[in-house]
Amino acid sequence: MCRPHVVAEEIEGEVIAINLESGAYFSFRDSASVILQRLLAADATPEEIVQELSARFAGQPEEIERTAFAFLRELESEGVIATYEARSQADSTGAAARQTRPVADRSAYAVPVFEKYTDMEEFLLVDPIHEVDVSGWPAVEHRDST
Amino acid sequence: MASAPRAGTVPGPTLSWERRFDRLEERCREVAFTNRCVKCSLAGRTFTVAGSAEAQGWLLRPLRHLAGAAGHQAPLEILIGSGADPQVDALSDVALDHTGQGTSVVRPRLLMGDGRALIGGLWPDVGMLGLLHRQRRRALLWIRDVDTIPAADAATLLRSVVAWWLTGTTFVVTHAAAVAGRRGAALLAGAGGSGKSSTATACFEAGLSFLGDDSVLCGVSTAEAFSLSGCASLFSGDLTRHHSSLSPFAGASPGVEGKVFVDLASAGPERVTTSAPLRAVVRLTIGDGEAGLEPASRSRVLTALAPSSLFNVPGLDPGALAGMASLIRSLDAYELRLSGDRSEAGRLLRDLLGAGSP
Repeated sequence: MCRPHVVAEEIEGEVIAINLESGAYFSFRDSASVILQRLLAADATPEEIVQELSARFAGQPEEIERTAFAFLRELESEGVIATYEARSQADSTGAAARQTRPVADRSAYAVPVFEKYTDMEEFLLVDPIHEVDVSGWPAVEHRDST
Repeated sequence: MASAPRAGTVPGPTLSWERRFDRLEERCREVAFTNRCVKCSLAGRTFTVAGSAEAQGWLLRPLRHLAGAAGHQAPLEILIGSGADPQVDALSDVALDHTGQGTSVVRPRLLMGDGRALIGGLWPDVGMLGLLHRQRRRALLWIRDVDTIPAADAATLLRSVVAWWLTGTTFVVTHAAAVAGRRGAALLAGAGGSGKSSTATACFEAGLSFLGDDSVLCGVSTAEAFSLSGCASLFSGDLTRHHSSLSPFAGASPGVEGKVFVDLASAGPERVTTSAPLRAVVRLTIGDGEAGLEPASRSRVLTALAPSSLFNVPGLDPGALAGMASLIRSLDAYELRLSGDRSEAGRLLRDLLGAGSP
């Protein structure tokens, strides 16, 4: 589900994801890290992700589903994941979360968030790199020196 | 005025990258003194450098400490040509010209080739074209005017070629400095301007061994650091304020970023080492109080190391991120808060790594 130009690694429970096209990179912890790890490991559906969150965190099912779907939309708009198809909120509110039985000793659910870093993005904007195919330089946008 | 690309200079029908490589190799061999090639060793691999006398001398200056010893793997042959040459301009579809503008001295502005057997880059701001053919184990560099490229930038221009050659699951080229002591080496990670060069130089002055101030090759599974340069690049102000004893070993002309070349391999050859086992990775931050060294999370250190490493060498296998993460998992992680006095950082890292040779 992560887009091809996004690379990511989990380390000590935190996921670092780098968008190789834009230069933006992201840090995901806690519930956000769980979501990214599910996306990386098994190309999970949004419903499966909500089930995983419900199994690991204690929270209101409707809130988990609503905030997880909102988080996935954020990832989509940031170009981290491809477009996903979630069932309409009206039809499915809480349905995915309710499929998972509560487990004891779960930590409290916190709304998933990420930190975004743009220092490399600015670097690329100032000094872009173009990939050229066999037709060479004229294939990329260029300016007239006169 | 910046040199803009010229359309319409493609030589006849579109040439494949293989043919462009062939033609550039012909031009390089015409000017290179291949019977005077210099053999170097890097991470058990051999590479040879042959080129016109001026180009060879220019490129080899930061690599002298790697010369002589031969590795046991099949070598990479690096051929260097130089001069204003319309034939080479046609191959790169743009006139190679040193404009002295832009910030791209450390990385190419154009990435070319098929990304597998053949990969290349064009550094229009410094007038350099570089191509690597992995199957033929051969790299070609063409530099329009060696005299216009400051020595401080020579090692960074070679970095991309070495990274394309070696980076994979076994090695990664990191955008980091590295120093070593009796207990092992530390990678010093941080974006440009975070103090990598001045900290590595302060460590050198404090008695630690120097492996590099900007790029270091790392063995992923072996957790080793390999030097890619025996020189440091320092802002001239930093050289005057903090490292004045090294002034006799500094180059005269600053590079594009205003840094001067300091030949540490001449200043203290016994303290410039070619490799060392890694023990730690350190994230550098600029503070406004006393210097301090504290344990840090590995994720925080990966965030400091990986993005700039990947973006400084375009064309790397994205698997390089996994390599860096794997490497960091095997190391102790620290954060070093720098004060205005870099010698404090040198003392802290000497305490961590132990005085003496690795």
